[in-house]
Amino acid sequence: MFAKDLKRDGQAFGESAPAKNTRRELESLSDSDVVQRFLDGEERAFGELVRRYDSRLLNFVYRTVGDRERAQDLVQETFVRVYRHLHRFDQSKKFSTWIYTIAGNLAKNELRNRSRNPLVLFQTIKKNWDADHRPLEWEDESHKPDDLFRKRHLKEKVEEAVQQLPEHHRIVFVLRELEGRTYEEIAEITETNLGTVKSRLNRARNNFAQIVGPMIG
Amino acid sequence: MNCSTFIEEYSEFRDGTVAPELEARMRGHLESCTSCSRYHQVVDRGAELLRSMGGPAPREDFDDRLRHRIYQADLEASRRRRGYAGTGPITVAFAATILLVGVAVWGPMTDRSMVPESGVLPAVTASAPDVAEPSSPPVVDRLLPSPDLARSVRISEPSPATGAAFLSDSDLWGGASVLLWEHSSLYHRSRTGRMMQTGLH
Repeated sequence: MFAKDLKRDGQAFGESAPAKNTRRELESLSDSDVVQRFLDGEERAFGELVRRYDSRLLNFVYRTVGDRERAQDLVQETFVRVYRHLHRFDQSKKFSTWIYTIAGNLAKNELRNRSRNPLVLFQTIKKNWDADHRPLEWEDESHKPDDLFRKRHLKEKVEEAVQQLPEHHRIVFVLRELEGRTYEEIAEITETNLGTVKSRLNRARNNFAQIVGPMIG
Repeated sequence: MNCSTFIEEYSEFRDGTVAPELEARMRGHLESCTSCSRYHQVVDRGAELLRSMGGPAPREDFDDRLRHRIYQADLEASRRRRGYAGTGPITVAFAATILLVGVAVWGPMTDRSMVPESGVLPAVTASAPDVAEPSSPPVVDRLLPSPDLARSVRISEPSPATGAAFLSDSDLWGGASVLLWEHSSLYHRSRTGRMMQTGLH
């Protein structure tokens, strides 16, 4: 069962030799081969898919919804859906596109629900509170405190700039700039055509430049 | 090339998907225009900062929670499957009951032979008590398929006080069963069948 096979590298304490070999073998396979192994009954293959995609999806969903806790839940929901519907996945398509489509749809639903029930996110308040109250961390001895503060402030502003983009612009922006997806993949993930992707991306970059321009020297 | 054309084409230029000729023209503009050069620098630097931040790491209990959620999803799915399997015969029985009741209720109503031609029913006249068997069997007797059920309805003499005729206890049950039988769809089906066999309509 998948339950006992979902182990990360550092946590695979006491893993038997055959299990270790299987894991190594799975690591060397392509996504489609790992999917096939899972469909053939190899439950460990699902753990491999989780390991490959959890951080990437978390980053994508977090940048889209702007809430860390919610992003964790949505990524979990993505994996639950993948687990339940993998037998329906068209294996002529890319698995990564499919999983990003599921995560993207969940993120869009989240934003839609949020716009119907507007509320101030605790996460946002907490983040701002933390930023204002935590002591300065001396990350790099070679930098002056002013520089560190400025850098941290800049990063926060850039992060906020992404959140300020309209939802459909933000998704294509994140998929292109952070995930490095091609136009075709973005079109498939967002279920739009190539022309729409290009125009949204151009507008998103334009908006982004307008917002962060005054902060970047 | 002017600045608005540059901004329009910028996104594809940045991704390296423009035609080589256009790319060369855009590069030329970029070198000569400080405003567009600044625009390019801002997008570039902003995206770089964003990438350098990385993303949130999965929580420590991410795997445990996911495992639990998948277990729950599995359990729910198997429960649903069992649920459907368990309710199958019940559903069929329920549907069959509804069908039978429907046929029993609507059967006589749809049978045209049961609907009187005029809206007025013929008057029922009560005769004096007749102890002896009637010379000709009552209509009900002729129509009933089984002699066991063919029992005539005896109606008592009207009470002088009320002027109403009433059925005696023993006849009431016999009569009631006859009435029930007469109005059942089974009776009408057998009657129609017999009429068809004999050529009666």
